[in-house]
Amino acid sequence: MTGLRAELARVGIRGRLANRIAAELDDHLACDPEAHLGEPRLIAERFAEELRLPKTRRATHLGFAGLVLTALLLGSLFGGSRSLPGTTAVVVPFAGLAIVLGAQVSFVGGMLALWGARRSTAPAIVQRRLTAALAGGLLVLAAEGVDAVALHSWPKLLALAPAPLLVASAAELRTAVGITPVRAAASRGFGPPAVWAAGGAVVAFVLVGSAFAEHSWNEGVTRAAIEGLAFAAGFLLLGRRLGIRG
Amino acid sequence: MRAETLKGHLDALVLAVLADAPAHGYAVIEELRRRSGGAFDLPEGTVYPVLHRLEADGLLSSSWSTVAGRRRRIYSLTRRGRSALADGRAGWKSFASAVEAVLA
Repeated sequence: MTGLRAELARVGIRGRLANRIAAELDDHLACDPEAHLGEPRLIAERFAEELRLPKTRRATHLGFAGLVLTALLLGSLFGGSRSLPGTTAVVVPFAGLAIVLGAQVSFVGGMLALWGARRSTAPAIVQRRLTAALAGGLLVLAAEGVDAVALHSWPKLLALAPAPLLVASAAELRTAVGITPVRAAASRGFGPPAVWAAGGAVVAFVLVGSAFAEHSWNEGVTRAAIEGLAFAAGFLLLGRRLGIRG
Repeated sequence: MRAETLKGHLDALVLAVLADAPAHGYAVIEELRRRSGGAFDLPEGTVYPVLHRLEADGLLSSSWSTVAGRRRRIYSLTRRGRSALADGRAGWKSFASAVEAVLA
């Protein structure tokens, strides 16, 4: 169809998906050369309209599965005391900091994205949340890899296993973003209560867990306060972009 | 029949056509036209986006085949698709009987 590819590209449909659509419509015209498929512009817009939500949802489910696996492997492979010889004394703490920050961003972003995808929130908002979650998740994976190499702890490289899921999610997300018109993320008040409840639960977990692990309530309160401040900072920095702050 | 009239029911209709046998887009459109006695003569370009969406939602799966040297995308129903079709049939019966009760 003349002009179809250009129209598909105009609405953000490119690459394999565009090739597939063109091949299907070519086959249709071969079956019936008199077929009236309609204006290429309308066909392209219809494809974008029909696909932006399911593509976003699929990217979110893939990404969330990858992030859950990342969290499970992080919990089982990392932790405990480590000796830090030579340059690893510098590298490993930075990797640890990246893991802590990335995990928090991916946790909040992933929960918000999944919440939005299941409630059919505007795809643009879900996509922003998932972008933040995937960025956090990939930061965690990169830091885990650096940590494993720096400490020559090769079994820890197993923690990179979720990478294909996160990459597949990112690829699907890229298509979804391409076919979604750019609009300002609408304010969602203070976001879903479940996310705030989960954030509060994490702070409480840090408080109690640290207090018991370190045998010191002062330590628990300090770490919980840092956790709470990190949540507040994340809300201020990313809240508008994630559609939870007006 | 106008496409707008079918809005909300097109998913179930497409799933019903594919419940009998896997088919490509052209065959789906022809079968819709045949089973409806020509009433569902849809703008052909509107059915392909629906097929893609149903696949993205996991209700259909698809694969390439080659026919007369051309690539052809064949769609088939997944288990979730069969379940969605059963829901669609039940929903339609309930809706149709309610409309019938009001109009009668």
